[in-house]
Amino acid sequence: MGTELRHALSLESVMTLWTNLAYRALEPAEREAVFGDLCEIGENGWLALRELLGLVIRRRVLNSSFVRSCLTTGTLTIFTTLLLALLAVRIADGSAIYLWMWINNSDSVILQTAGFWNPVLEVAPGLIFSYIALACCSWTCGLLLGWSSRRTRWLSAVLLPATVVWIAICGLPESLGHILIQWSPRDYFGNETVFQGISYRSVLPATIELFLVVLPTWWGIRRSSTLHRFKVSARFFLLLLCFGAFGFLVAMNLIWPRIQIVGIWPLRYSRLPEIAPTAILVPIAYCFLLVLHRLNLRTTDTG
Amino acid sequence: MNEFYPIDISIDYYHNVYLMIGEFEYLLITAAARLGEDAYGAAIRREIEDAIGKRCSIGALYTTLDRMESKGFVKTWMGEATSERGGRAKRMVRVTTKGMQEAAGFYRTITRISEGVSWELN
Repeated sequence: MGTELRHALSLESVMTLWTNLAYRALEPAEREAVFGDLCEIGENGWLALRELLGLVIRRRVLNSSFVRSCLTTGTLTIFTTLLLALLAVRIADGSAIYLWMWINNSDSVILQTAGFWNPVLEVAPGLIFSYIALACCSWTCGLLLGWSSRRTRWLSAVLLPATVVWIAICGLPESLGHILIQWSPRDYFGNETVFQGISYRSVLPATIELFLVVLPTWWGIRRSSTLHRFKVSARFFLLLLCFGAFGFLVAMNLIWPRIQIVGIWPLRYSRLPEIAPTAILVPIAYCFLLVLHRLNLRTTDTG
Repeated sequence: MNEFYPIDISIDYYHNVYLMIGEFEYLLITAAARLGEDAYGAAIRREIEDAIGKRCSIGALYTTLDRMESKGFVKTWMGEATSERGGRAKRMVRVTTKGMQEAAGFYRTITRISEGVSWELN
């Protein structure tokens, strides 16, 4: 009996929670009219909840501008995540070979030789730079996604990791090869030993996608809510840079094959070093504008 | 439009041209007109349910009311609160002249097209 009562109470509390959520989703004037109607009709419990949810869904889901904005944000997010994931996998595969050489094939004797350190010093800065560039690129994309639709930031925040997980499980769709110049199946030819283990084949790309794509993009989406603090001219300048960086990223992946210069090296193999300057520029500009904004605030407070 | 086909086919008649109000809109206007000054959400809902013999959801009622108000067929405002509603206000509804014209047009069309047609099943 006690169990049944507890079950009934828990069901009631769940229903109350949902009713409260639905209640809050309505406009204040509408809440008054709708709850008055439900009270007058004498509907309560699940029936009232069903009526309320029906109204909320019609209001929220069938609202055309909301649906439009969800579709736009969803498409943009998935497309951007695909581009970033593509870069992440390329960088991961590229760096895996060096990491394997340095980590898996070194011992105390090799570590003491200049022959080991010279290539490390030569290659490592480039790798680190490409990691930073990817993170900056992701942050820029996040800022743009967040700015493009304030109401649907949550959708970008949800779709982004979902797309990354989908890519991690199913791999990059082969159909991307028709539109993205940088897409090609992962080729381990000559480096099979490196990619034999799961660590370099799956864990490293997943780690790079998490730390250099998902987290920076989330951070960018979050920071987009601070854009309104800047002056109009500063915001315009920053968004111009963002569009430039994003446009460059897209162009590197989409436009070159269309204008038939795929065979001209190095455009055919456009990689992060070409994208990096524009990608890094946006976070630097943002930090600069933020410092200026804070200095302005401090001056105003002191004044 | 030309002499052989006197309808402008550049217009999508099914999607882009407003022909007349929908049947639920007609039901709502008629119920509101019948109730007169006592027309509000719950009362209109009762009228519609009595007429069609089915449940009418609050979601359908209020979203249709909003749509019709934006088209200028009805006017709504918050009325007084009553004790039977737990002290909550009513959303009062009044049919505008434009709404009446639209409803009359719908009724005429349905009556005209139904002339000579029998729906009695043998």
